[in-house]
Amino acid sequence: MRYNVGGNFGAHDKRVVDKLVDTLKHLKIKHVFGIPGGSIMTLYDALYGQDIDTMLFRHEQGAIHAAEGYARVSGRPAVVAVTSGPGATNIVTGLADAYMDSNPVVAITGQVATTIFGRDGFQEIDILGIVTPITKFVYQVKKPSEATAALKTAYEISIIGRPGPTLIDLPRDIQLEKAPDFEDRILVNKEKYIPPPPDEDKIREVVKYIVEGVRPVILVGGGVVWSGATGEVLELSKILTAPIVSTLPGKAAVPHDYPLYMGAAGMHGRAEADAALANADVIIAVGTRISDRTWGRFHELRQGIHSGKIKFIHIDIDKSEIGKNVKPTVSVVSDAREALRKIIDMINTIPRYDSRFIKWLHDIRTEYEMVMSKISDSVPGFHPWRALKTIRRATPRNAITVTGVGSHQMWTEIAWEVYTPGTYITSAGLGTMGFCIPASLGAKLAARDKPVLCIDGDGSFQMTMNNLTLVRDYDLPIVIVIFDNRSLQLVKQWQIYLYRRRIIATEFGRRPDFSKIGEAYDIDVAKPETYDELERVIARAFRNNEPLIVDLTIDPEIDIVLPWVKPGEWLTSAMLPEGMSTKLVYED
Amino acid sequence: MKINFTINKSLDSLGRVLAIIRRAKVDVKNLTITADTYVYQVTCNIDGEPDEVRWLVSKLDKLPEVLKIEEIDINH
Repeated sequence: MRYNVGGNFGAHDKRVVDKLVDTLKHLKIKHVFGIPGGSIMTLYDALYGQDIDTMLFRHEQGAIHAAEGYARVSGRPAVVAVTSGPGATNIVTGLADAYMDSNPVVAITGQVATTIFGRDGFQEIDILGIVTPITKFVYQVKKPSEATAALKTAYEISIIGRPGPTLIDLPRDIQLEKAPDFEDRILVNKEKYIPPPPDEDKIREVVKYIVEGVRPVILVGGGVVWSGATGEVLELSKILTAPIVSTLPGKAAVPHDYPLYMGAAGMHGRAEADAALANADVIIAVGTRISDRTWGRFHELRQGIHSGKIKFIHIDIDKSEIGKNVKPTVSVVSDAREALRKIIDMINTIPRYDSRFIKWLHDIRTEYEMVMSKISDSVPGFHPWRALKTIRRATPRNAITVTGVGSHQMWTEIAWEVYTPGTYITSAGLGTMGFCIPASLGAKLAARDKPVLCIDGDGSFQMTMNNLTLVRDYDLPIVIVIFDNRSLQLVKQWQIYLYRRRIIATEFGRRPDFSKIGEAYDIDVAKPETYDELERVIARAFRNNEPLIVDLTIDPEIDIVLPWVKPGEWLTSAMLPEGMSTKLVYED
Repeated sequence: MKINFTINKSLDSLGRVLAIIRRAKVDVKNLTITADTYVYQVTCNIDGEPDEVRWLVSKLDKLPEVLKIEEIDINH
């Protein structure tokens, strides 16, 4: 029997929240991430005894990052429900993160009763006003008849076209009201998100430029993952003998053992990837927003396009990304997969390519690997580069890898190999420290049969470690490796090189003891002393499907992430590790 | 340049529109909002680089609340 809290209606009548839960079920939502509170209690009450699991986090930021991880792995929107005021403001970082990285998350925030709107009621906050610039859609429900329509609209908009976060704000009194048997229409235009078919004339132009070029490079972004265009990217690369370079989120787009994949380019990208982008004569940028983080600066690219030396082709589902930072030679607004398929089908000649260019890029790769191997052998203790190689050996190929934000993340950008598309998740656009643990939990929930590895830093770990309790609460055995350098190391690296080593506010003390943190959450902690031991403990945890925290001591003095394109510099001026003599400028 | 667009009649939607306009590198010369029964008609006269104006129009058109949008070159 239904127990109705509040409202003047019979026990069998449905409240607005009951209808909302029916809608969630209809949308096949299996989990709601969040923390209840005064203004969202009624919705949680409606979830009681229903076939939807509530995932109780220890901070709302954890809930929303988990939703991001869940959405990325499942490919479907994830739902977060939090209370008004601080509950709502605590998800703001996650909404911004989801907005920057195009993650479909539907947030439901409780709100004070409509009778006290705007009068600074207890835990009242204008959450719509706050999240306006960081959401794809927001709606405050003001009538019972709008509630289910608002939820359906928020769900649909979050996933249609380029994914993104949405939010509906639910006043407490509306939640309690009797659900009407009709539904108001939410006046929006959703059709605009349906990507148009690729323009045939533009595709023809693209093909013309592609076959004229000799050093084409394909730059893939996160849009390739969402579009499921991995096969097409590889096919085009094979036809053109074109190197593939990725953005940071695009690392998950192609398998890294494909010989023409050069790695991620940008601030801490791989040298051969930076070199490929900077020396290409045709760049086919797919599903990427042309970020300064990938390019360093745009001046050289713009100049090359203007002079005609570079033909820059931009394919993206979102027309507002076209020309935002760099005006392309030709653009195609379309789904990545569809556009690439058309391009491939239209190529009817065997394009020329510069084999010396490819060899040069491979030589850069070989030299970097050799130099890093030497450097990591020469230091006592763990070097992040070799540690990642070791962890990779111990980790199943299909494992989902999530990272935090900091120097460890940048090392993964350079040295972590992704074999199965879609299995590398990181906070790229916003760079949110604390992302790793909750996003890993969300990823594990979405794919319980897959191993999940969280590569974190000690600074990043401490920002959301309170959510570790969910590992045992919901049986989510993830493996966490903390690159423990007792510093905010990436900031410190900037202080060393850009602020004349004036180190301030980036060094932690010896506390906390992570083994005691693990003990508090009933998770084993390993503190390996050798690479062999590191490999062994991780392999064992994955084999036994057991959670594990690995506290990996890294000497901050050796933790300088290179290559490094300093802020505002061009790709060819990347700072390379000592011992690398290659210049990143190709001599034609 | 002139941008005409229609949004649903909600001040929340209007707030979202303004949040986008304020981030564009254009000079807003005139902004008129007219209320209809269900919608707001917004007319915006702006000075700015054509590429920047195009970006603004695309960005506004990303909002689901923007039901219809058109860009008019008033110099021609």
